[in-house]
Amino acid sequence: MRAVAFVGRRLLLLALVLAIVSVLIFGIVQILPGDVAVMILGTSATPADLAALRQKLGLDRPAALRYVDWVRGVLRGEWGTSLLYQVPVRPLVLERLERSAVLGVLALGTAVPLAIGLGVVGALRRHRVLDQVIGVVTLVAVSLPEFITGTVLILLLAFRFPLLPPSSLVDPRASLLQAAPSLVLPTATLVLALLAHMTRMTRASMLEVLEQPYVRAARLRGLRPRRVVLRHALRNALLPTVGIVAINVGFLIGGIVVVETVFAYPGLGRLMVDAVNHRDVPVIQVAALLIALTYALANLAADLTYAYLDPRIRY
Amino acid sequence: MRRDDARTERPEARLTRRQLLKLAAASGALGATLPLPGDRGRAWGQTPRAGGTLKMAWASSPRTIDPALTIQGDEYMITQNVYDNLTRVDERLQVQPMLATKWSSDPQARIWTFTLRPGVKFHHGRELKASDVVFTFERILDPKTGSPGRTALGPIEKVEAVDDSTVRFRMSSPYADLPVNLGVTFGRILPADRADRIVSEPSGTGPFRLVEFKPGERTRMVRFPDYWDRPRPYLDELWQVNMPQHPTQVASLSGNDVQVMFEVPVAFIGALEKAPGVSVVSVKSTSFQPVVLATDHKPFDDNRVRLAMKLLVARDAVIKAVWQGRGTVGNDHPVPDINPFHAALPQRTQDVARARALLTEAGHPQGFSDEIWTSNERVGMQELAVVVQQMVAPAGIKLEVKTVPWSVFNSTVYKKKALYVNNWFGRATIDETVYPYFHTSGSWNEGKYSNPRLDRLLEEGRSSTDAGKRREAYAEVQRLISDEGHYIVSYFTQYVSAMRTAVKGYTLHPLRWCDFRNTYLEA
Repeated sequence: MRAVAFVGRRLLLLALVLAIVSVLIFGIVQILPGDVAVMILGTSATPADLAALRQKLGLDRPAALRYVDWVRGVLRGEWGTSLLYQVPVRPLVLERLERSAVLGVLALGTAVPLAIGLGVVGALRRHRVLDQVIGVVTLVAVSLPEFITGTVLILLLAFRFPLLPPSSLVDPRASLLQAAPSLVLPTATLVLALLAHMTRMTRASMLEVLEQPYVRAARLRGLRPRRVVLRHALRNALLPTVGIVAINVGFLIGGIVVVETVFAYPGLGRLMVDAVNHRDVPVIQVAALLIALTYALANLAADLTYAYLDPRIRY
Repeated sequence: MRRDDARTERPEARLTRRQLLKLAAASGALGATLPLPGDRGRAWGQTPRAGGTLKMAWASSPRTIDPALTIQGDEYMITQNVYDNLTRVDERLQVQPMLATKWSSDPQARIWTFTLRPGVKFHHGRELKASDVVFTFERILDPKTGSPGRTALGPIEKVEAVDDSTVRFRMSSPYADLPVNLGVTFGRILPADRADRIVSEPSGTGPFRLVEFKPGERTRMVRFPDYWDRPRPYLDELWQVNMPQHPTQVASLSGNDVQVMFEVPVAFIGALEKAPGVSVVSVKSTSFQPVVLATDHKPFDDNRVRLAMKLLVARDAVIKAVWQGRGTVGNDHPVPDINPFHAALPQRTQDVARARALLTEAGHPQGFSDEIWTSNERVGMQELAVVVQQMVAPAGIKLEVKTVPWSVFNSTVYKKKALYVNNWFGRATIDETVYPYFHTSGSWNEGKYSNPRLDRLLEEGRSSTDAGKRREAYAEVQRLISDEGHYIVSYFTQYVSAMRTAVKGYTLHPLRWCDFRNTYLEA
């Protein structure tokens, strides 16, 4: 029962966060420089054409009224029409979100186990060559921005040694298996950016836990080392890593925007970039809101996982 | 491998096969990769091969496929291959027949009559009639459509169907360039019976049928088997794919994931020239990047200051610094040498002493300080601003370079600041190349330049049908603009593209249009 109340409280909080975020998004979009009407009609448009379009788009109404209309629309599922593409926002955004989610889940699903594995190995081989290599490689990977890592991967694995496709030119009729090769490079770029934090955190907390008396006790009882590490030490060492994973979802979303642009992957991030470039306000607002929602849900998931891993934790 | 200037690479149709082979041999290895000249594929002893999919990479993304509302190259590429125009503007900016087989006007160039080609079918099966042409242009002229073509097509007053295969255009003032202008992007002929489905279910008379339009991803077009100009087109499918990053495009082209790259930025030319199976091609374009000296701002209201600025610019050095030498020297007017009306004026060159004298005369012996605005989102603009900043410095002119994104540029710099760099694609007709930029009432007259004599000449040029008189009028127009206008035009850019060597029958157009009617993929 307490668990249900806990989740309920967290969901309420989430709604509040989203409400605040929606005001922020709307406000920021209002003060974006550049005129929507000019973006749509181009520089050759006459002032009369521009004024007519502004009126048609309702841009001449007060911002507060437009905000209320927008929120009401979003709640009703009427997300408006893209100014740029003249199509309904909802199917457009949802299709792109799905694609980004595929990329995000693949990246996170690869990065988390890999980082934990590398962290554990690093802790067990502390200060030995393998540990140093893992440390340096992950640090270099996280220090490079994704557009550099991505471009280097393209130039190396698609241009110099053409092993993988550089872009996501997937035929709409292709099966998932046929599409798979084009997902490798974008996923790898994201994984490289995600590894360092999680690896380091796992390694540090593993080292701490391995020093604990109960681990020594387990060893002294003659348990096999593998069992001691995986069953006894790792579960406790993972706690801080879970928090880092949630933070990394934030990095991941930022990374996806860049990676989708580099690899011409038609996801939510690219849609967002195009929308900002063209002041496509309805798309920017909904996409930003969905991204905020994703981040908030990731944090919620992290909190719940905390509670599961350490029953003492209750908020 | 690389070729310059479409004019030298396109042998005339009347050449014999023997002459062609000689020409190919004379140009050495070049001959092997020359694109076939348009419709004359057989002259090479090669029959165009039917079939295959061609994918073309674009950094930008289209927003609409409504020909009345298109304003970007990526949009033109789609409509050009889905629709036909009444006329075609060829690679030398000359007008050719397309859906209209012939046309004529009264001596005043006020009434134009076009005869339609018989047996042309729309993708939904219906035959083309004069009423479709009337519908197309009435739709553009309707202010509710909001088409920029309403003014860009010329002073069209009324379009009427004389019979099923004859269309008459009545102009509100004499307009000699109408046949050329009907060949540009707004003039794609739409079906009158599908007014409400132009974007949702597009149907044209063009060589390809649009089957998928996903802005920001790809647009897919498939062969229309009933195209009037059989056996064209040769390709089964034509794709436009949107890839924002140029390194991705370069890798995709070298991996044959795409077959044509719309535009190659200068920085990537070297890498592509070395890639096997890829050829880099270029053509002189009509695009130019002027430095705008707004005549409604001090000190540029004084022509001595404008002329001094023009005299401070060393054009060859500018082209070298900004475009690595790829460009044609400009003479401070927007008419490139590929335009049939280009006038051979004496070329303006750098003359710092004279510039200084002019500035002293104008009351600026020590020069002056100002801001020069530019954008970092169009290749070349920022570099040009920096080069100009350096070149005017010896005359004591201190410029501060101010850079903004393109969207901000359009709303806060264009037509508002005193001194800035701009980016213009050229136009097909001579009238549109000069009138909107320099007539007192011109919609793109960003320097607010006004000269009654120039206005008169511009009106004379657009209304006369006498080729000799027009040429004279436009020569004087170019001289006036060059000496007194509000532009420093230091260069016209080259349009550089890249494609797989297997792509045949695809020629670059100086207006950066992409026509795939004659294109095929070699086995």
